Amino acid sequence: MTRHWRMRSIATVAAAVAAAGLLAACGSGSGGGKSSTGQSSVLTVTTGSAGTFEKNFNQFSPNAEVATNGMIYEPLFFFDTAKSGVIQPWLGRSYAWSNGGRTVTVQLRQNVKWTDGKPFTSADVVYSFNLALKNTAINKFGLPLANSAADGTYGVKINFTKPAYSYAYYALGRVEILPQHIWQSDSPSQITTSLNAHPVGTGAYELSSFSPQAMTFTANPHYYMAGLPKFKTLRFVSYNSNTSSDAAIENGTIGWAGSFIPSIQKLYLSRNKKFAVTDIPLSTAFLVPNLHSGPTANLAVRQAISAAIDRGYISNTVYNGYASPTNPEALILPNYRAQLAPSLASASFGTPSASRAKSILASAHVKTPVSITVDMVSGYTDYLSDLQIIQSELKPAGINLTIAQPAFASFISDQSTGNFQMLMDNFGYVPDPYDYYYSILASSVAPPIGQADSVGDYNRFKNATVDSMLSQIAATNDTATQNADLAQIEQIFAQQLPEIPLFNQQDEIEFDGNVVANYPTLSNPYAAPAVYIQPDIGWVAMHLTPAK
Amino acid sequence: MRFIARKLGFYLAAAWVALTVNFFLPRFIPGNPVQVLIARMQQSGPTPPGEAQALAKLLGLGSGNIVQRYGQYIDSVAHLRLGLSVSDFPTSVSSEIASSIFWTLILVGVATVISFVLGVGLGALAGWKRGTRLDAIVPATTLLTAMPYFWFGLILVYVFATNVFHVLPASNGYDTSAGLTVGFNGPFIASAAEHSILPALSIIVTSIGGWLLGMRNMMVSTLSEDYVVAAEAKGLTSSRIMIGYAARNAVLPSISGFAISLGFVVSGAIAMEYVFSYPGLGFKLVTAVSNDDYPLMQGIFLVITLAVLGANLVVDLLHGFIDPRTRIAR
Repeated sequence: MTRHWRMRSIATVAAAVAAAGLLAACGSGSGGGKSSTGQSSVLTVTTGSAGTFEKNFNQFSPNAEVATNGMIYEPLFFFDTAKSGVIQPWLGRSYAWSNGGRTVTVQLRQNVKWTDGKPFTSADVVYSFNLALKNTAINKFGLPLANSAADGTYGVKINFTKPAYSYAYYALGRVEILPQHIWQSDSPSQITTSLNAHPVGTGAYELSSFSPQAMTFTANPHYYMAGLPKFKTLRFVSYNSNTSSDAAIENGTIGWAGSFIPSIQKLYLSRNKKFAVTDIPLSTAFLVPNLHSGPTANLAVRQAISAAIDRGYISNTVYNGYASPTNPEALILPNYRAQLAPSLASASFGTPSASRAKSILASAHVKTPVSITVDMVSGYTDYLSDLQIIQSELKPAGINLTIAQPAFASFISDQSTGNFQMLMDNFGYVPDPYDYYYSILASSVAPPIGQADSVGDYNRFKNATVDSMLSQIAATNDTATQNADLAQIEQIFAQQLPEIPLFNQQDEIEFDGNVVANYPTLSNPYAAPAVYIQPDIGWVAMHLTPAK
Repeated sequence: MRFIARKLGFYLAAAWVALTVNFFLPRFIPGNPVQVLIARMQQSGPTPPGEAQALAKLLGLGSGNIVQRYGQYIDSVAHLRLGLSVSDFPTSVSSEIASSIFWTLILVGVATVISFVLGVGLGALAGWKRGTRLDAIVPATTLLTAMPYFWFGLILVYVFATNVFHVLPASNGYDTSAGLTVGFNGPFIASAAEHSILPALSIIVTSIGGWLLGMRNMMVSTLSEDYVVAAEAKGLTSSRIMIGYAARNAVLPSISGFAISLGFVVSGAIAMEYVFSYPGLGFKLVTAVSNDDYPLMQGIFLVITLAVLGANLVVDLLHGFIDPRTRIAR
C-alpha cells in the first residue's frame, strides 16, 4: 500500500550504492537459489518496504501487514487486478444481483474451516458486513449498506441503500470475512484498536513466527482449495532501505520481491539466467495540470506538452525499457482491453515533436515562453529523471518547466487541496476501469480548491457528460451499456486531456526462477504479482509453485 | 539539600519547555496524518468516497481546538500515556519505542563507551608524549572526525560488505533470513554482534578524534601545573605521574562531555541507522516525521528529551560532589 515510499524512500543511498554496484559488476554472480523440494519448500519474500514489521494483522488498520488481506483473511471473490473482468470464487461460490442492484445474493463454499477448526458459515459473513454497517470507522470502503442476512447456512443476502453494481469490487472482492465466534465479544473500539496478533482466518497461510525483521507463514494444512498452497513456508524479511533489499534480491537470497532496482538488466537479470522480472501495467503515471488557473487551464498548452514529450525515450533511458508509453485515453492495457473504445483502437500520441507543440501554441495564440512549475515528491529519483527529460523537451517548444520537489507530506497537502500548477503522480491498481476513471474524473468527489480532497480528481475536472456516464455505469449491470459509456469517457479524455498521460507506471516484481515457478506474467496475468497489492498477494502466494 | 532542589526545579521547567515544543513543532508540518495515509493507500488502488472519514474516525486523533489538544497532551504525558501510533496504527507508541530502543541503546551506547575510552586513553598518551611522533594521531583522527558520516558509512559498506571484501553484513540488526529468534540465545547474539561491527566501527572512527583532541590538550596544560612538577621532584615513576596525577585531573571535562553524550545515545545515530538499515530509534523517528505521525514523534522526542535532561542532571549533581566549588550558592 505504500508503494512509492517503498521503492524510493532511500533514493539517495540507493543511487550511491547502485553506482558502487556498477563498479563491481564482476562481483558475486554465484547467487543461485536454495534448492527447494516439495513439502519442505521455503519461499523468502520482501515487499521492498522500508522499515520493520509490526505484529499487526487487524484488517481495519491502515497499517496491517500485507499478508493480512488475502493470505490470512479472505474476501468472497477474487477480482483479478491484472485482468479486468476475471472474477474467481474464493470464499463465495457464486453471486447474483437482484432488486435493481440493491441486493446481492452470495452462495458460499461449504467445506471451509477457520484455522482454529470451527466451520465457516453464513453467520460469519453476515457478522462481517453488519460490523461495517454499524460503525463508520469499520466501513472502510464507504459501502452504502442497508442490512445483510443469512439465507441458510451457506447463503447470504446483502442489501444496499442504492444500486451498488459499482461497489461489487469493494463489497465482494475487498471486504474480508472475520470469524464471528472470535470477534463478536469485542466492542467496536476494541476491534479497531486491536493488533490481532494471533489471527485466525480461513486463508491458505497461518502466522507461525514473528519478529520485526522476519515473519514466517506456514501452509494451512486444512486449506479448502485442493492441492493449494504449494509452498510450505513463506518467510517475509524486512529491510530499512532498498539499498539493502536490492542487495539481497540481487544475490538470490529473495525468491519473490517487489523492489525497484536501478539498471535492472545489469544488476539483476544478467546475474542468473533464471532471474525474472514481471512488469504488468497496473497504473498510469500522469502530469496532473491545474484546470482552473494558470497556463495549463488552456487546452492548447496541455496538448502542446503532450505533443512534445518523447515517452519512448523516457521508458528506454529511465526504466530500462519497462514503463512503456501509454495511450491518449490513458486506458491501462492489456488489463482493460475489453473496454477499449473501437474508435480509439489505434490512437497514439503521434511522433513527439517540439515544432508540432510550438504550432499548437501558435494557432491558439498562446504567448510564449510559458512558465509552469511541476511538483514531485522529493526523493522519487525516477520521477526526477523523467521530469528533467520533459523539461529539456518542452524548452524548444516555448514552455519553461520548473521542477519543485516538496517533501511527501507537503506534496500530499498541495495535491489534496488542489494548490498546484502541475504535479506528477500515478493512479490505478484497480480491476475495474470504472473505478479507475471515477477516481481521476468524477467531479462529485472533489470539494472546491482549497479544501482537502481524499478521493481523487485532484485537479477538479468537471464535465457533465463524464459525470452522467459515470453514474449511468454505476446504475447498471449491463456490460454493453457500461462499455459504451466508458468508450465515451475515453474519447472525452483523449480530447480534453484533463491529465496528461505519460507511461505505464513501472511495477517491476522480481522472481527467482531457481526457487519459484508459476508466477503471474504479462501472458498469464492470473493476479497482480506485486507483493504489496491486496488481496492479490494471497491469490499469488497460494498459486506459486516450488521450482523443479 | 537546597542545591538538589534548585537543580530539580530548573530541570522541571526545562522539561516543560521541551514538551511544549514537542507538541507544537510537529504540527507545523503541512498536511495531516489522514491525508498521508490516504495518499499512501492510493499508491496501490483508489480510495472510495467515505474511506477518509472512516479512517479519521478510526484513528480518533484528539478532539477540540489546539489549546484543548495541548491540555490532553500534557495530561497524557504526565500519566505516561503515549497513545497509539498513526503510521503503524494501532500499535502503541510505547511498544514502537520499546521495539527499537534497545538496538540503539546497546549499539550506540557500547560504541560511545569504546570511543571515549580509546580516545581519552590515546589522548592522555599523546599529551604525555607531546611533540613526539605519537602526536601525529591528533591530526589523523581529527581528519576522520571531519569526514561526512554518511559517506564514511557507505565506504565501509562498499569495502567490507558488498564490493571488495564480503566479510561483514551490510544491513539489518541480525541475520533476518536465518530464522533466528530474537532473545537471549547464542546464535542470535552472535549474529547481532556480527551485524554491529560495521555500524559500531563507523561511530567509533568518526567520533574518537573529538575525545582524543580534548584529552590531549587538557593533558598538556595539566602537565605544566605545579603539582606535577612537585610529583616529578619527589621522584615518582613516570607512569604514576601520568595516570595518577596528570590524567586524573585532565579527564574531568571529558567526563562531563561523556555523560552528556550518553544522553544523546538514546536519539541514536540517525545517519548510521539509515545507512546500515539498523532497526533503532533514529530510523523510527525518520519514519514518524515523514508520516506526520504526531503521537510517535512526540513519544520519541519525549524519550530523547528526558534522556538528555537526565544525563545533564546527573552530570550537574556529580559535579557538585566531585568539585565542592560548584555547590556553593546563595
